[in-house]
Amino acid sequence: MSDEPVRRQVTLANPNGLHLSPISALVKEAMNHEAELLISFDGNIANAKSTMELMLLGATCGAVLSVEATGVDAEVAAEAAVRLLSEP
Amino acid sequence: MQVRSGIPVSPGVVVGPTLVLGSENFRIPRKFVSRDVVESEMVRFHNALDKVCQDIEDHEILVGEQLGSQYAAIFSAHLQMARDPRMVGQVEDAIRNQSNSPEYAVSRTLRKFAEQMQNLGNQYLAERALDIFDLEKRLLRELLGESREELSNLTEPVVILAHDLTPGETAMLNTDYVLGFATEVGGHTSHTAILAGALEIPAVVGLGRCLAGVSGGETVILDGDHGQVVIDPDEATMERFRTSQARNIRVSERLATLETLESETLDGQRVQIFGNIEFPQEVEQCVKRGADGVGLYRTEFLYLGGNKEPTESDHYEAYKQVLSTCGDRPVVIRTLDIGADKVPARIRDRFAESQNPMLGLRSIRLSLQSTPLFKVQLRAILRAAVHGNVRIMFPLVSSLLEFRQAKMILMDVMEDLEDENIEFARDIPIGMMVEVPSAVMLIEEFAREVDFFSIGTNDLIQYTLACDRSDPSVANLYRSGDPSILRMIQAVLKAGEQYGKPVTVCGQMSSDPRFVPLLLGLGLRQISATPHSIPRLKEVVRNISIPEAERIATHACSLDLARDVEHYLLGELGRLCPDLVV
Repeated sequence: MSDEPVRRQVTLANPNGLHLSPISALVKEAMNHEAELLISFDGNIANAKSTMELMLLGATCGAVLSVEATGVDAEVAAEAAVRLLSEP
Repeated sequence: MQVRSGIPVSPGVVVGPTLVLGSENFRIPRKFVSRDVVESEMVRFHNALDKVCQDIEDHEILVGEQLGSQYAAIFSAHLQMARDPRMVGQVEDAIRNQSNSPEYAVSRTLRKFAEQMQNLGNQYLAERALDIFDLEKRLLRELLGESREELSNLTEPVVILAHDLTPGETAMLNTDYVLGFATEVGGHTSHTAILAGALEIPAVVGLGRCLAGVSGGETVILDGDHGQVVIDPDEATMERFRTSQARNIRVSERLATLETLESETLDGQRVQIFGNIEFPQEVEQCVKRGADGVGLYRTEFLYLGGNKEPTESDHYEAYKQVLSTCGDRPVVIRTLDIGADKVPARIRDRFAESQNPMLGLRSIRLSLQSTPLFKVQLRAILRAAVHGNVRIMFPLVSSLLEFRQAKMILMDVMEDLEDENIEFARDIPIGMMVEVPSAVMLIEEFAREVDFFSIGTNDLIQYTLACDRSDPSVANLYRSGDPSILRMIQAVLKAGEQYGKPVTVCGQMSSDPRFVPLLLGLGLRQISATPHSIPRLKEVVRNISIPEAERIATHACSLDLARDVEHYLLGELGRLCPDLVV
């Protein structure tokens, strides 16, 4: 069951887009999970544990992001990511 | 392979490893390490990374205590960046699989991220690139430790790529090791550009932002003839470079044989070629290349660098050195031409914050407002003049009043010397630079009062076309071949002939062989140019007759676009001296 990736979609609510502080929160969260957590936007994929990759997504407010988690705690990890990204 | 275009300011083509100078002037000592030290290099990288992370954590705690947690948060983001698994993975990969040195691997990886961030078109993220550069610097500082090398400690040949070089830094470059340089900012007539010519190393300025992706150690071809910089050239490009290099060497060797020959046209008209110099020691280059003297001795170097204002004896010694080397050949000393881009830090407070420094307090205007400063220089010139054949030239004269005032101060100084019983030369010709359009409009009035003219094309073009060549958005408007410039030169030559006053053209236009047939055709018989261009200019003179030059000038003056003029002149040069078309 853990092999099947958990997929979610979320609209980025932060008015400043995916900038340093939401990225920082997301990376911290991702580090607490064993699951591999990928965020993709506009054809680019970022590992949620990589600050640089997340920055390079260049996602602005209102962007629709795909969240994909694989691993033992995939479900929890994906939910946490969605929660953080939908925080204004 | 990355190709960038800028403004060529000093000719020649070189190839070599890059040395990138940021604001901190870190130097990556080597690009590769041998396979057997890969493991220990990996340890070195991780130690440096750990140390940097520790420093960031310490900062985070300190700032949290002093300023509050919201400020400390920025450091936790920086810490995440430093621990970024993707970044660390790429650096490790470069060290392990490509045998990169940790310094090179760190610099290259981080700069790639920073460059991508700058290219996203998002202002906020573009600014985050600065955080990445900061991380790069911290890591390099750890990795290089005390061995961080300065420009003055070079031991191998390099090509310098820098955001900017100050005139002071440029003057200090060790040309035994610095093959050439290129900068992101700067224009054709900046002081740094002029110094490059004086050092006789190829240079390109105004490349625009391009250093983000370069870490140092990459091979680069620097083409100071065409203003091109090729980073990481491919094999085909290298091959083209080798071919043209071989040809250049052949041509220079042949041109070197012209040094002892007369500068005379096919029909026997003598054309004097003088050298423009900046430093006293350059006069030897002029003499060696068979110059007829020094047509423009810029004296600003005395004011740049150093912490004190030059004394009368500093001036005197410098001038004496030039004059004794030149013997009885004339030396035109241009009085202080600082201001605008050449203000030394020491006297910068005399320059009120000006919106428009090129139209502000500079050059002769500064001299007339700071009489004591001006008099020190004039005294030294007059005293040194007993050792040779001196002519004094005032720069940037824009009205008759300025010329008269400057001349009056010179007379004052002569009287002082007389009173003090100090030996000096009396009958020194006094001339002016023609570099402001108002001077051209009143050229006949000036011709009655001066002993000679020298047309400074750099400023004349800039003021006539109202175009700052160091501003990349309008640099293309700066054209030596513009018909308006041709007409100005024509007017000055005509007045010079009518009143029997010699006219020289100095400035970068006269160092360009393309313009020689045109200038000769307009009646010019004296050229002053950077010393290393003298053999090329002589080559043109020796391959043309005056009627032919006149024909070329007449046709060039009938064209109405700078582009057409320059294209035509290039074609004519190719016909007269195919070797000079590079």
